[in-house]
Amino acid sequence: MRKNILMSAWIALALLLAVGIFMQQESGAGTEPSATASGKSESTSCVYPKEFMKSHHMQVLDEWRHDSVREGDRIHVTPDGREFEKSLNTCLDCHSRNKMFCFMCHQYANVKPTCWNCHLSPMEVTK
Amino acid sequence: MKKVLSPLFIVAVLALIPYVGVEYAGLDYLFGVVIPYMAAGVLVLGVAYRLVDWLRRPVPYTITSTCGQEKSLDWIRQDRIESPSKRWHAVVRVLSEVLFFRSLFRNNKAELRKGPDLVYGSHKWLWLAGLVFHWSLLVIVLRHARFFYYALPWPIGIIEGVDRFLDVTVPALYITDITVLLGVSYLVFRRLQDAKMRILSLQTDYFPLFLIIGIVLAGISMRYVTKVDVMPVKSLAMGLTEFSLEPPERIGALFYVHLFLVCSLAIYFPFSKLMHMGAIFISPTRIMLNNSREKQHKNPWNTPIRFRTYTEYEEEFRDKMKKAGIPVEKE
Amino acid sequence: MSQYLPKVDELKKELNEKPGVLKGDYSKKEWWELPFEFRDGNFCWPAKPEVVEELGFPNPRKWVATDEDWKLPDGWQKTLKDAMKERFKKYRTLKLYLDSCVRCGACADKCHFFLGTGDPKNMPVLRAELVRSVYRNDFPMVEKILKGFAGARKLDMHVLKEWYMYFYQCTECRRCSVFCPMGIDTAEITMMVREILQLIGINNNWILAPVANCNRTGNHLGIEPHTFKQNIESLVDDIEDITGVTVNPTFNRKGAEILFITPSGDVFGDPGVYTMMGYMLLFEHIGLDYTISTYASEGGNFGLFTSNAMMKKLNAKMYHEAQRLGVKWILGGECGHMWRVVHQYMSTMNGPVDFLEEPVSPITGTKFSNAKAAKMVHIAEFTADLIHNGKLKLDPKRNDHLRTTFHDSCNVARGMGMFEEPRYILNKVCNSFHEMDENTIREQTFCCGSGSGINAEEYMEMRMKGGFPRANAVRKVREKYDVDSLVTICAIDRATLTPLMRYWNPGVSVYGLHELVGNALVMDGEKKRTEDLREEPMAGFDDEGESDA
Repeated sequence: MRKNILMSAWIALALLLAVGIFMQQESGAGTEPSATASGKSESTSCVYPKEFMKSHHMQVLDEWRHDSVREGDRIHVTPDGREFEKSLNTCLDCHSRNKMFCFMCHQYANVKPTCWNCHLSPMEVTK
Repeated sequence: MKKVLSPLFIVAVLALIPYVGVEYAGLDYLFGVVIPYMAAGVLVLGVAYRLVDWLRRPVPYTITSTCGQEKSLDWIRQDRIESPSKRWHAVVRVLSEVLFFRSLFRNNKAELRKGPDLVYGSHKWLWLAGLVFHWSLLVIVLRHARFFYYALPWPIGIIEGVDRFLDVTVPALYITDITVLLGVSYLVFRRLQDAKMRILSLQTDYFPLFLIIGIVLAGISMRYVTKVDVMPVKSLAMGLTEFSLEPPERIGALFYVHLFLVCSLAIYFPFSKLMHMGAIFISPTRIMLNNSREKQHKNPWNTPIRFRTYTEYEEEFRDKMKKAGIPVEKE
Repeated sequence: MSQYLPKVDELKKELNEKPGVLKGDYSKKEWWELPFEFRDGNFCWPAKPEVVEELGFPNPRKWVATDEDWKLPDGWQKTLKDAMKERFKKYRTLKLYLDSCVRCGACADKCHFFLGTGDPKNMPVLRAELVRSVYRNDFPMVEKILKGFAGARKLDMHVLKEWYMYFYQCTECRRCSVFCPMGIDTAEITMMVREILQLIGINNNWILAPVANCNRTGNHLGIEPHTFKQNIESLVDDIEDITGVTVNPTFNRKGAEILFITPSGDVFGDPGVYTMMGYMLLFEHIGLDYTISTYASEGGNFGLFTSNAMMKKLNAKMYHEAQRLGVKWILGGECGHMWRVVHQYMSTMNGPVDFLEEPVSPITGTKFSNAKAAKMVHIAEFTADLIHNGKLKLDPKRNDHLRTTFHDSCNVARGMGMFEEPRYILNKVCNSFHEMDENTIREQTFCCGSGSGINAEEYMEMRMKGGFPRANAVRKVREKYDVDSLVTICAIDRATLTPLMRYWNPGVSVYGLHELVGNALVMDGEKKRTEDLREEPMAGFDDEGESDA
């Protein structure tokens, strides 16, 4: 009996490890420095590298929401020293120039974010 | 425990192949386009062949397993599902097997106690885990339709909405991601824990379980942990549905691990016990009606036989029969 | 008891103490590495050469399972493989059921032989695996890969011996099929293996001798027509002694309305004969116009355990005789495998039968529309209809000396679905019916342990093991309700449950349902009844003051 349990644990561990390896290598690849990062706070480049944002923006936004609403920590500092307010508006300041910026991809990938449950979406802002 | 470790090893190797292939050899095209087409072809043709191969073999006799009262006298209540006498009874019977695992629900556990004494207890764990596992898999497969459609068909939208309704984590947690892991873990666990299961399990029983675990873990990791840019994934998927031969854009290697394991499963499917998915729809003991005395059933190969006729019998025993006063044909 | 049977305490000790997978002990061996051996009590005698010759089957010779050399014909592997392939083409079930098992293990602890022996190879999934492992090997290209991976193996002497051992430790009872989520029917596989083993002369005398007898004389016991009649007439005398009523069965009478066919065990075997007396009293009571055939004098069909062709050949006599005698339809007695054949195979094999009519009860006018095509009605259906229409004068108090429980026969339960009729009748003819545990009755009923032609004396040890789950369930109602009578509707049960009860539950007797009907029937012109058909005193009927009117 004990042997059985040991064996099951061993297998679970092996599988976890196998996946763990992939995960580590994967995230390493994701944080490659991006060529577009610039040193100005009025910069035209994003808070994180573009490649990273493509896959992680929802988590960045979630983190920001948590930090600003729960912790009162409202300032995001990039590795190169630029400061941004942790707010969806920070994103929209740049990205709402194209009203469809969010929607193009979300629609294409059939993803339904919950942002617009509370926030006004760029589609709803009449200019 | 070779029969557990070797399928585990095979799955690990299968997972490493695309990783190495994409990361170090740049074989994105092979793993993103060539193999998926091949796998889909093998799956479709293989399953079709297996089904046709089964169906062209005749079912010579009505061998319904009657698990309930037959249709007999008017005042006796027939169990129409477990002893079907009309087509729709059998349809309900088979669908309840397919959708709810009706027969497995009966499952009990026999224990031999000191005495000796045999006792039977209810044992629905296999039913529950099996049901959770299969339904989760189905929902997960349906959910993936979002990669293959521009506009998501509404039923799949509903399924997806329900699956993520807990709305914890970002992106929203799919309930089936958890339940499929729970289900499959129990299915592995019971094969290792129960003495009966340990002796009757083969490598071919562990292999698909491990393969599915690998697929699920890779998928979960991509969604919640390591993340992957879904845009190239979507365009690859859309390309595949349009039979495009365009090379995929750059996607993380973990995606190819996920995809390649899925392809392995698809290729393995038609040649393995996974064909039970088709078999359950045509199992003669369940689909046939218990009306074998009511309606003439035809055996296509009903081989003629020569039996000992009454005439031959009387020929041998005529004197004895006459002496005993039994009527005979020829005096 | 015999040399083929350990003392009950020894067997109890074995069940209590021997470790096994049923108790959660794992030997660390794969199933194909597990040893097995033929020894006294676990194999049946092979068919005698003269029997094999009479039937025209291959390879008649003298041999036994314990021999080193089984004297098989050259190329027996090819014979078996070809025969298997041929049958895969003829039966979807075989191919489908070998292909689609997922080894979920739901069937594992459902087999009475597994529960009684603890032998892993008696788990239905592994029983089928014995064949599946060879069948897989038939993909030569991937043989090497499959060998380790899918558990494929070559058909050699070891495998053959395993087949002979374990496919005669399956009674084709289909209990596993009830629990299988795929509906896999191990009986189909057992039937095929037994059938192809005949082709190289591996067989069972307890099956083939009755088959040969049945073919020649019309019944398993080889009773010739005059003796058959004589025996029934002696039962007529017994009935007269006990009840004062004379019943008048007729033999091979043309123009009778109904042909009555029952297993020959009812005519010759104790306690089957009492059931036969019950039938005759019933028919007399309602004035049925029936006849009994000496040619089709066997309801049972051991062809079912031999080969498809043999089953058809033996069964053909029923319709043949019904046509010759010009009856309207056929009434069948209590039997298990007989009804598997009659219900699920007969009209397909030997029908359609346009010369018979849709069965109608001449007493109640009830149409047996569920037997419209096969034209054969089960006696329990027939009697239940009589009772329901108030056509029988019954006094259930006459069975007050018995405390009963009911054993569903596997074939009638899972191959026909008759559960309510016998219970209805039983409740009308006795006052003391108690059901056994719900996991051991109806569709979940346990085999007597000796069905499918293995009720041989030399197989007694296996029979007592295979019958243990049934005996165990009877023991519980005996302890709880003081049950002493096990009622069945199967001739094999009457023959096999009797020693099973003697071994595990002394004091429990085995009865046929219609024996109890016979006890309870209040006949016209009967004398005062104080004894049942076994000439045992009935309870409360010996005192002069009491009346049974």
